[in-house]
Amino acid sequence: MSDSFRKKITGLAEIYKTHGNAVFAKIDKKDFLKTMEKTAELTERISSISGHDNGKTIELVYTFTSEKLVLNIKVEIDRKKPKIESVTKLFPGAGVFERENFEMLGVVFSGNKNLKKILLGKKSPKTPLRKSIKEGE
Amino acid sequence: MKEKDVRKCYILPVGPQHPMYVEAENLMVHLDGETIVNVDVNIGYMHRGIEELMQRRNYIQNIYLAERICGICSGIHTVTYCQCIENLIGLEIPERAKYIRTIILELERLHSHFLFFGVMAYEMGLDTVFMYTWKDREAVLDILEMISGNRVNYGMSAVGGVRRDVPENRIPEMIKKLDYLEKRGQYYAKVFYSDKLIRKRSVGLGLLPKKLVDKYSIVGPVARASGVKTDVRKDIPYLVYDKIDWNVIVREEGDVLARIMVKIYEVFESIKILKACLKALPGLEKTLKVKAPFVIETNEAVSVTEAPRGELFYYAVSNGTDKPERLRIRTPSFVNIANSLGILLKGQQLADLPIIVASIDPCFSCCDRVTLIDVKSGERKTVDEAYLKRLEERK
Repeated sequence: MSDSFRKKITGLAEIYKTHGNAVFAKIDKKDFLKTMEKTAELTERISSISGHDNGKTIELVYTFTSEKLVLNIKVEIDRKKPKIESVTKLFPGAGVFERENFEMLGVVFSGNKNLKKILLGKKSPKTPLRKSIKEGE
Repeated sequence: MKEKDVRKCYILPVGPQHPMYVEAENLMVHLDGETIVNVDVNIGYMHRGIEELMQRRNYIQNIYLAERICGICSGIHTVTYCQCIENLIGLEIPERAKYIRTIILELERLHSHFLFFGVMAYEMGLDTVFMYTWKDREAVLDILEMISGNRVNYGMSAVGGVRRDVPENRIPEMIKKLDYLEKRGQYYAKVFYSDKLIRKRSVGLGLLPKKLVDKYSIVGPVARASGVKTDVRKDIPYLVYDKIDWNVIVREEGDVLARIMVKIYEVFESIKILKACLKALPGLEKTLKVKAPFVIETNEAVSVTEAPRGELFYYAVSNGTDKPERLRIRTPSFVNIANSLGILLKGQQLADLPIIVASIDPCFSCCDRVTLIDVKSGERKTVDEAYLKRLEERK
């Protein structure tokens, strides 16, 4: 998958890091859907969407595991208006990961019709994994 | 299903509390008579904010926090966490540590699978099989106690290797116990495959079509029972899984019986891996651990492993301090519960619900206090676990 992925995403993603079987690629937000469509041609299975607030932007890492490769595609989005297209049409299994990131970081996934809380209760703090939320809030 | 049709159904809240499991989850089951037409899965009752807690503790303290994510899978969580941190540092662990980690993980898989057989038998009303399997599970826990001194939380992994060695003088005793478990596994294979009652309650039940497995990211033995050959130990080998000869168990049927049989045959594969590791151990160098730095430079890494219930994923970001900037954990049960239950339960009978839910081996509750609501008239009726048990018996 690694070589065919490299061919598919030439010009769209920059591979910035590898370790063992893992490959990390970075893409621009405008190339996001195009890259995801090309990835969907290689694999149907999405393993995770890991969200991270680095203080300046929100990073979303889309992970796909397939034979001999853990592919991580990172996209950075605006921290004040965190919005990105949903990939549920390409990967129906991604719905729960999108809900989790919506709840923990406040990322809005446009196109996900079932975007609601999944793990936290009504009284829990909103977007608890944001940097602006301090201990004890 | 249209919204109008949903309103005609009974909505049956199943859970969140149940005395059988320690965890609490809730299923809103839409019923048309006895047939399930839709299921809303509500999770999160056990959410403890571990990802946030990990960001406040240092890399060493987090090993013990990771161990407490799950009581059954405590070994795989620490190994995956340590592997992820070792990937952040770029650390290679000693060969002996790799073998010892594999031994712990396979023993954990054995005891988790034996526990599953007991739960399945209990759900079908076969209490004798439940007691037999849990008695046999004690043999695995004995081996774990010989190695680590503990039955469940082993405290074996450390960043850079393992904390304790396997006592070589007790290896023959361990092999003897593994032989016993193999024999018992063969007996359970016969019981579960040929018993008329078990077959009636499991063949063709809770079908998961092969084409939906990858689409919904379903992992582990549930995916393998639907004919998808996916196992991280073979696909992306870690530790010593590529040095040992073993097979991935796949079945095509995709029903409850297939999920049981996959796990039974996995027991034999785990025993094969364990025997190979125990045989290789005396010839290896005695180093258990290499030194790992306390502070880690800015970096990011992932770690993927095969837990007893499927693919386990960790993602870590470091920031040049002794604490991680971000740690993301995706457990196999999260996707299996949230994505597969809706597919498995649709069109099935209410009386089969406990068996189908238990067959994906979730870490969650079944049904204790149940309220029947007639949405049309607003009538409300509360029933208990005995009601569902009676339904099961009547079937």
